[in-house]
Amino acid sequence: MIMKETLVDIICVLGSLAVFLAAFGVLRLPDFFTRTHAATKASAFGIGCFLLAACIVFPQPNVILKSIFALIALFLTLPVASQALADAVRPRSDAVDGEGGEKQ
Amino acid sequence: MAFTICHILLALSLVMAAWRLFKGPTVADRVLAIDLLAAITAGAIMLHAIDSGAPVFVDVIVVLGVIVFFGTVALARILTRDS
Repeated sequence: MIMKETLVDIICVLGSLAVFLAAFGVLRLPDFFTRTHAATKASAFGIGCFLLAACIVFPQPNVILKSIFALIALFLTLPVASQALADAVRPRSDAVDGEGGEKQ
Repeated sequence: MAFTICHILLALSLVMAAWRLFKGPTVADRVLAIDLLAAITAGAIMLHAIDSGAPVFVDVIVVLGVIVFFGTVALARILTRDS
């Protein structure tokens, strides 16, 4: 069916574009907290898009259940990991400087 | 065609995240870059699963996500203890 393949193509390109934007944000944003923001949200959206595409391509119940489980695990673990990392950085006052974050 | 575009975008993302891992001014930036590298790898694995029609790779995503989560939280604890 041609409709389904087009939909899968669009979702895959959207997901990889989200992951690309996450990596671009991690490379270019000025300090650590903005980088955390870019990495976590955009990569969660990207992997979610890929899992949705897998649900459309393989419409068997076990694949759909495993995709939903992977999505729940991802959406539970990604914010917790970034929160722990930001908590580890927060006591240092020079982590936010807004101009490249280059000074240690 | 669309899968070629996806692969090119993911390869560019890998290069950018690896550059942040190489450059990163603090240790936390490097940990974040490792986290992002794992997410990009998960995306590439899912893309290969869709492209080759093998749905077993969804299990790989679950295991990779959990292992990287434990790694990130452990490194964050080490950073908290050191500072």
